[in-house]
Amino acid sequence: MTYSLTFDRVGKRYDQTVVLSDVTFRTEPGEFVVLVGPSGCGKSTLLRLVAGLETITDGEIRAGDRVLNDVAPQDRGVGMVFQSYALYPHMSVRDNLAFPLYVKGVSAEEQKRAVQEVAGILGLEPLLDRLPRQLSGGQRQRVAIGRCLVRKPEIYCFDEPLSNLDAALRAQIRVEIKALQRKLKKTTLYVTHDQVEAMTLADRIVVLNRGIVQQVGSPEQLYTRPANRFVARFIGTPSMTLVRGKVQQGRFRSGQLVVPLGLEDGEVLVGVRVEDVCVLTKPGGSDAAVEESDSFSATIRAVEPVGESGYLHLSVQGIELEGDDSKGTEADSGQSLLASVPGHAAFGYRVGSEVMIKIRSERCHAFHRTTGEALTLSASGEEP
Amino acid sequence: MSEGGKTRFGWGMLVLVALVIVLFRPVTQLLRPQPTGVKIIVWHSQRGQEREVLEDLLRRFNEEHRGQVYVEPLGVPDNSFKDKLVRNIPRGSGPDLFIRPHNELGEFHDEKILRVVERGSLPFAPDAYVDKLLDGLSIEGALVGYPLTFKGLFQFYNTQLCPHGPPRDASELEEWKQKLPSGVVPLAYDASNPFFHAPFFIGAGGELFGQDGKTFTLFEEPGLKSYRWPGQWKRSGVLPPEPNYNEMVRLFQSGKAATIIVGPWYQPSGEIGASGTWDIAPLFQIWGKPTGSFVTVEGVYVSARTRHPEQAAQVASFLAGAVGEKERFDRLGLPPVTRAAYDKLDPSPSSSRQVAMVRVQRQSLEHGIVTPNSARMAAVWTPATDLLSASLAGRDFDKAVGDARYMLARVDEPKPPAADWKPYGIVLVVLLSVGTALVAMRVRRGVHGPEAMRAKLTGFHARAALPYLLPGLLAVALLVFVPLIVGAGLSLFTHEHGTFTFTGLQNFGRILFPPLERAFQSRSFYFALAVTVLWTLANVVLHVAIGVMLALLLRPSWNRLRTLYRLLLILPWAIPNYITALMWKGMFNAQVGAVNVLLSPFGFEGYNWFDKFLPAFTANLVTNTWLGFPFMMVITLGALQSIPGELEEAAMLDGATRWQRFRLVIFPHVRPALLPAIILGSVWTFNMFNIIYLVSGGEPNSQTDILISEAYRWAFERGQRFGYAAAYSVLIFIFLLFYSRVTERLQKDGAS
Repeated sequence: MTYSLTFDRVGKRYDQTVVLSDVTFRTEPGEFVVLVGPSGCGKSTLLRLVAGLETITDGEIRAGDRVLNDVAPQDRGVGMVFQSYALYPHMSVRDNLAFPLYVKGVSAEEQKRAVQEVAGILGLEPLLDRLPRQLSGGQRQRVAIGRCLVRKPEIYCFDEPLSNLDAALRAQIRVEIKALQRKLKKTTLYVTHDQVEAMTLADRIVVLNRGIVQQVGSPEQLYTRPANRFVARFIGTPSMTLVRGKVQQGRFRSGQLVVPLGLEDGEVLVGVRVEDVCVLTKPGGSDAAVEESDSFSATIRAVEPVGESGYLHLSVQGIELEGDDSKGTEADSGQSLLASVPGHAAFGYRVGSEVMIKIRSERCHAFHRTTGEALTLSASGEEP
Repeated sequence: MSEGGKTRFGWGMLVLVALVIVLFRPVTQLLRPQPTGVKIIVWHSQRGQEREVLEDLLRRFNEEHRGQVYVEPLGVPDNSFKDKLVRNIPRGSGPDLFIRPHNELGEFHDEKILRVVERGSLPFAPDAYVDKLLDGLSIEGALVGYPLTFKGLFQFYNTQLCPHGPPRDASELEEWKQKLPSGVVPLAYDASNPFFHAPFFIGAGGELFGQDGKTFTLFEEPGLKSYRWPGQWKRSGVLPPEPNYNEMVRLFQSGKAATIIVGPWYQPSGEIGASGTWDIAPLFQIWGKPTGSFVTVEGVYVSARTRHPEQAAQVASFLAGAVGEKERFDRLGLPPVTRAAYDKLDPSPSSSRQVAMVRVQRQSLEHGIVTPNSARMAAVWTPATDLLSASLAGRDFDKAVGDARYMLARVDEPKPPAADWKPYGIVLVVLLSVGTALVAMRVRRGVHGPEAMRAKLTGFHARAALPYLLPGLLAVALLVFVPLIVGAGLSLFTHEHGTFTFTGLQNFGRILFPPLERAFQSRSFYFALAVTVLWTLANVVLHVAIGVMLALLLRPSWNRLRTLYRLLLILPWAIPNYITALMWKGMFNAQVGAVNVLLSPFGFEGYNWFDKFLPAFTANLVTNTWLGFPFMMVITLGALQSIPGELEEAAMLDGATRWQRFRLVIFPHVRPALLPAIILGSVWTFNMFNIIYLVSGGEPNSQTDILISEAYRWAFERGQRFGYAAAYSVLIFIFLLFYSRVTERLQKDGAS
């Protein structure tokens, strides 16, 4: 038996600092929901509100029909896996796993059985007599999950459980967690700042920024129909490129860049994902070779072959790019238009050479220049 | 090589410093003007007006003997006077003359630092002196000093409460109690102190020594019955509930006591009570028998090692002569020493208080005893104090007498026979060789594995390391090993009359094998050991419990108020703990102490904390707990800070109750930090001399004394039994050594 979780205008304040405000969404029973957002966005706080480690200042959280606000943490049926794992360092793995049962006064027999069962699920049998400090990061992670499993909670909370692991292990555990959740079919809240994790794990994603829910939706919805500029840039790697420009007579222009766009005349922001920037010029080919309608020329500033694909950093004359407001990590985002090409092709492009570019206008996203809200495009754009 | 150069520089500095130290004294002495004539140095411990009078007299003497003799006074602190004297005179660096009360003469005689005085060289004819005075300054028939003055006990009385004079006989006291307003006691005197009890003992017909002049008759009839009186009087309200000196003075000063028995060192200041005044009277009679007190004679003595005995005798004779006698009476009101001087005093009853005061003191001498100057007198005070406090506390008198007699015999016990040192020498040699062999083997094998093997303690490395190690080694050797070895060695000797006799393990024998029926009484080793263990245990448990509890309470606000907490913690530490002890002692005062005032709703008014074991022990415990818990608190707080918050949150979610979270999650984190602190704290507490000595003072009857304070008392309060006390210290050392080995193992087990 598991519950749906309902967040009804949930808010959290510390004195004057508002950490969360007006958080409203509902999960289905057994759903895997990922809370994602940049650090300090309030996602961990939201998780702690569910677990009862912080008190709710506004609104209410319900599990099924039960209001959780004033229920003691241990009575909420919520299990939590902490970022630091929070294993009891002075206890063996066995004792760590048995702890929730021990404090409830469950018989030794029952404890032993439950520990064996969980250890079996997670492959912890050979480690039962070790201390946490004798375990690797991944093993500790599994013990932490195991300790949570032993309690048989109705709702699982994961607080950035993979952030202390190296990349390879992260991918592996991610798969394990997903598989486990499928098997248990319990409502799960999972906090991460890594949108890749969010995209791969989630049934649904809740994007938070500055304590406000930006969008709730399936990974596909978030990727293909971001509700605003923030979600657009936050979801997807590399980030969507945002171009400032004007729409005039069904054409969006920003310097040399031109895209046919079904919008009223005026200033807008247009978002373009890398895979939607088509490089018409063949590797090693001359720029004069191709010419299509609504194409324009750009200079290659850098080439990044990353394996199965490669990225071209393009500078377009007169183009105005929107600076990054969320991730700000990629070397020159905000300065270059990014285009992806097949991995093998990336080696054929030379820095400094000129290429012809065409943008798939039907997959462009447009946002209000000031509010950043997504604008609806009419289907007047030309087919490529 | 720069290394060599640095080393040379280091040695050069050392030599320079040594030179400065050695040359400092001669240089400073050169700068001082040197008067001509034979220089006589006088040591004294007088202060204030007394000192002025002494210096004036000496100035006068110097003027009269210009060019022949020059006297230089040197003030020496009273509490170290004896030690300094005994140490310096035999080395020839002491004074030519010194001024002291007579009661230490026995010890001085044992140390052979006194020069016999020819009766002919006294400033007055021997029969001109007040009776008994010269006896006080005589040892085994030989006169060793010149009497300056003496002090005896008498009464100050409140003229408002006693319009017709003070009580004239002890038999009137109960009646007086009825007559006086409630809240006023007829009599105040320090009934717990044998010195102040002496008038009653003497009045009862008591003698210190029997017919042979050697056997103590301190606890024999007819004097014995006098010990019952303080208890009876306390219970009938003749004496106040807590008869000690300060309390008595306070009562008299505030008009709550009709009369006080005290000596000339006390002067009622200003008004007594609301509008009362005071007067002086001799001691009242004891059931019709006039009584006196223990009298102390102040004398001036010539050092046995003076280079100018003639001139020294000349100075002494001048100080003790007619001029000095008159000056001391006129300016200080001190009793004269010759009969003639008393005859000259104003005979009228309305004579000045000054006259009255010397008269009553002479009366005290006349009917009293010059305190025997024998070193054996040191044995008297402890058992007599015991019996008095037993009487005051209303304990079984006959049993208390038995205990006092036993204690007197213990303190005064004959020293064990000298032992043959040869077997001990052989054992020592064997032990030393075995020890050396063991150390050598360990060094060869490498103490800590191959790393240590490579850095052998030989060759170049050792030579390079030596200058760096030397200061530390020297300090450790001087401050730790030398005292340890001297102390351990001392425990094999017995001290008596200034000489140490090798008596082997007999000190340990006497400590460890007392008569069975006394083994579990206070002042026995086993009793003190039990008290010490109880003391340590109770303290550590309280320190840890309170420290941990407060740490848990303070923890949430630690980050904000860290500075404040640190400050609060430092305070008990920054105040020297003897001041803390004295403050707490004051707070446990029965009459005016804050503790009784605070607890007065529970009937603690006037409660005496120090006449039963448990309350006295509790008072010590409270004081030391106040001192001790901050340490544990800070250690715990430190450990608590290192526990990640998520750990507790995890435990909370896992369903652990508050107590389970503490016991299963928090405490296991605090324990590793707490364990060394507990070990340290228990060793400190085990030897926490200050608190015991200053708060309860071992009361009642040394029952609250711990081993270390017992050792102190055997050395300094019960007849200078240094060897015996050293044996106590060695036993303490062995006990703590054993303890530290056990805890070391505990710690290792805890760590793994």
